[in-house]
Amino acid sequence: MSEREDHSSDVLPSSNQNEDKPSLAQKRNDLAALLPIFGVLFFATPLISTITNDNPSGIGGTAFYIFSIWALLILAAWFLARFMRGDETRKDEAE
Amino acid sequence: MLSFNLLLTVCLIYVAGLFCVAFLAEKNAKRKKLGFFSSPLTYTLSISVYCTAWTYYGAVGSAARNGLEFITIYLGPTLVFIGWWWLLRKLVRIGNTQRITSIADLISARYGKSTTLAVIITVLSVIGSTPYIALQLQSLTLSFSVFSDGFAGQDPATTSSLTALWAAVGLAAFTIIFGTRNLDSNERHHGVVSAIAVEAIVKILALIAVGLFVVWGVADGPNDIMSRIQPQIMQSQDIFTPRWVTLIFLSAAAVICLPRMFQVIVVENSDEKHLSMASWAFPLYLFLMSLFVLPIAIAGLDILPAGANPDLFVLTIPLTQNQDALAMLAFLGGFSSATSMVIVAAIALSTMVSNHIVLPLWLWLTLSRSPTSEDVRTLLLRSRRISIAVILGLGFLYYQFTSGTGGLASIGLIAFLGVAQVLPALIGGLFWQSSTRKGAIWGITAGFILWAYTSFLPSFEGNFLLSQSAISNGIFGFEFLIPSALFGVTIDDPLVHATVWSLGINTITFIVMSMISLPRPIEKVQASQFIHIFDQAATSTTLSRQTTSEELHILSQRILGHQTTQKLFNKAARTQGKLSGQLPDPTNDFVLDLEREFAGSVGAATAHAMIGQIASGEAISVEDLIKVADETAQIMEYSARLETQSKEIEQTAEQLRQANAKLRELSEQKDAFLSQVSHELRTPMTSIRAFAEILRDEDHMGKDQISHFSSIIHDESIRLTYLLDEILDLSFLEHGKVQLKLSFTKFDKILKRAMNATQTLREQSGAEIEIPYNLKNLVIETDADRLSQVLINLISNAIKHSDAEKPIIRFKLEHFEHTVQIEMTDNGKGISAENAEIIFQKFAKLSSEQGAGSAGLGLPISREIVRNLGGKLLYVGNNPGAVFNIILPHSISPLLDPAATIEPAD
Repeated sequence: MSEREDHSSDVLPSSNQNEDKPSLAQKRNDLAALLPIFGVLFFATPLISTITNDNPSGIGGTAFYIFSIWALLILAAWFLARFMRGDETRKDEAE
Repeated sequence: MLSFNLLLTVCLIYVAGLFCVAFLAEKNAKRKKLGFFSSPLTYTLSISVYCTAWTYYGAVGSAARNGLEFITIYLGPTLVFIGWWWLLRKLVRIGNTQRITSIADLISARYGKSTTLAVIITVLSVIGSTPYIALQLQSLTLSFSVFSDGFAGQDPATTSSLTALWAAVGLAAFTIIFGTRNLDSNERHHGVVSAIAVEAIVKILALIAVGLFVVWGVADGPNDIMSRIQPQIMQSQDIFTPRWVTLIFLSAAAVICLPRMFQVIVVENSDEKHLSMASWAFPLYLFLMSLFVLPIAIAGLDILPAGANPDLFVLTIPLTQNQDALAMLAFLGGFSSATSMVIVAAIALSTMVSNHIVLPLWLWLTLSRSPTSEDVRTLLLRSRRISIAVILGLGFLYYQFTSGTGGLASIGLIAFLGVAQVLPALIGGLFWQSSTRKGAIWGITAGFILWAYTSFLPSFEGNFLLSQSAISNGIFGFEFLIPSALFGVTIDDPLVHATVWSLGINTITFIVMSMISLPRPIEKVQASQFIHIFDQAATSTTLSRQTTSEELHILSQRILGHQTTQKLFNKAARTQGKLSGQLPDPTNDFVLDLEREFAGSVGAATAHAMIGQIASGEAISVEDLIKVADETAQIMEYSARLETQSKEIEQTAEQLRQANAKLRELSEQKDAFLSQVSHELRTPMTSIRAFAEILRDEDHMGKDQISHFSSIIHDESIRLTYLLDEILDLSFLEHGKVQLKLSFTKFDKILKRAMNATQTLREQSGAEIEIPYNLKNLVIETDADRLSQVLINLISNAIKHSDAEKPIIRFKLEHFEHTVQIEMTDNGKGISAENAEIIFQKFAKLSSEQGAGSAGLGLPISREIVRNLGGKLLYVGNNPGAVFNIILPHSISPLLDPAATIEPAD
């Protein structure tokens, strides 16, 4: 399947882009795909208990941990969305 | 304390406001000036329909009972949304391109537009959602009861029943008015979505307001709140438990699979770009929704008397603190949560019921007789209205039967698990090419049965189907059938147990059945359309269909209505270059477009069936598949074809070049031949003319002279005639038009004829000819006259051009399998290399000698004769005199077969 995708991207190269643009966009997409994996890592693996169990303040500390990670994830998603949208509008303008 | 009547009035004003918003949005949508109503913000806010009354009130209750567990319900969707690039983007793209109307529609479309699958998922969704709707009604009545407590003269039970009934009726009315106003080809409901967006704002404002009041009004800031934590909330054990992970997973699955969530995320999406805002804004919304849950729970447990229902802390804290306005806002927040969920769920479910159950049933009933007068639109709208009423009625009935039991509290998560049964088929359908309809049907059915047995039925606590003893001791007393410990698998948490069993078996069945069954052609087409949705620009399927435009027009009018149909058909006619008013041709593209439009109204499976009913040509051939299934393969096939074509063109061009060169050569030969012919004819003509002039002009001429001149003229004329005969003969021979008189002849006879003809010449030169005995006795099938002509020519040439005192000509015979070779050698000096090249050319003038009376056609004619006799005449070199080989077949007849060509191959 990856072979096919490579092929199709060969056939349909992105237009009106500088040399470094597609790779940058690709990196952003990869980052966007990574974000939920980070989320799962911090929320739904034993990582959450190792970090919070060391915290003596109990539920308050755990809540603080969860809300902080949550806020960071939202912030990251916001950044990515902004960049991706900016990228799209630039593309539209170029076209 | 707020009076019940005031509360009711505010409620009605609020609902009236929602009506206005919905109405305004619908009006703007019609004028295509949606502005705010179709902004990404509205889209994001409408997704907040995820936060129902169960989460609005219940989160605080859950926090008061189980600490941080409530947060999992928000973390799951957060993960799905920040990971929109993986799944949601694909879902929305597919939803928009394929005109998907519901989750059942999506799955059925993916697996070959299967009606069976659509029905199964619809039934599953209705069963899963009905208790959920009942839960909302319960929340509404509970919150009303907070205010009506102490309302004299009323039985509380009757009051709550009445409240629930009125709520159900009111919600049904709103949903019917704005949800089934018309059939949109995209199944979008701008009015409803806008109203829900407003409600989303109300509920988050309400919760934040209560939260702020609790933290800074009731308590003295965050630190004060944290210091009031009760021991029961304190984290007593490790937060990372199977239940924790299961809840995150289930809520993540639910945000995709719940019919109402699918409706707002995929179906109501008008622009894919809105997703990128929702990817962070919706998690932010959830973040804000859960931020104050814990403080409210802590404060509630602290200040309210023991035994107060923690589910109602959001309402009761402001009430006990005499904050009536805040309490009213909190109530409206809960009201918004409940109503928005019920409205969207009713719309989503009614769409599914009418598209996947009512319409196929109607189609099946009218299959035998040609459906003529029935209007599908009316049927659809009516069935949707009835469905909405029925679904809300079911919710109400469920509420009536279960209120009082504790079953409702846990029903939210049970519903999550129920709809999550669709997940394996959904994910498989989007990413796994080999998944099949059979796999999806069996997987979902198996998961559904296990879910019902391990989770859904036990939730009735023995009141429905499963008795209390069956729940605790297993059905018929079989211990391995205990719903909470199936086959002896003991997992403490019943939800985790049910999740592992139902989704595990579901996934395994789905995979195994997909592996052992083969997808039908249409499944393959759909699979590649879904999986490679981002790779394809516009896949053109090449199914050949047989239908007429009139039939399509009638069908379209019945489904899409007159106006839309007119618009669609006119547009298609214009693209096909027809005059307005004319019907477009039923091309494949047009029929597919139409089917997609229908799918927006009635779902993919039904649209496909309806088109299929009037348009034959459903079967997809393997060639079609190869063409449509794989865009890349198409491109490769195309380039390969181009390559072959260009190769062919190159070859053709080369052939043409060669033919052109040959033609030019022939034309040059012809010119040379003509000039030589005219030159050859000119010489005798000149002398004929000269002597004829003398005869005419000279009066006094002796008789001898006259006779001399006349004989010259005569001889020249004969020579001329001879020359012309030769040219004619050559032309005949070259074109193979010569008539051969074939017979088996002894070679001796032919030789004798040649000897006779050359007698004078031989006697004059004293030439000697040696003929071996075996040659004399040779018998071959040939034309004796023609062959002797060749011999005469060769012998006279040999004698004429010989420089020896006494020319000697030797013949030699050699036998081969099918041919004989007659070799003729003379004792002259041979032919010079320069001349050897041209002796077979017409009118070849050998550089040195040139005998009189020879036009230079002898050898070319001889060669042509031998060729016509099926053989070859070759000059093979000097030894030292010239050596000629005549190669002839034993028998010529088989070679004269018209299929066989006679080609000299030297």
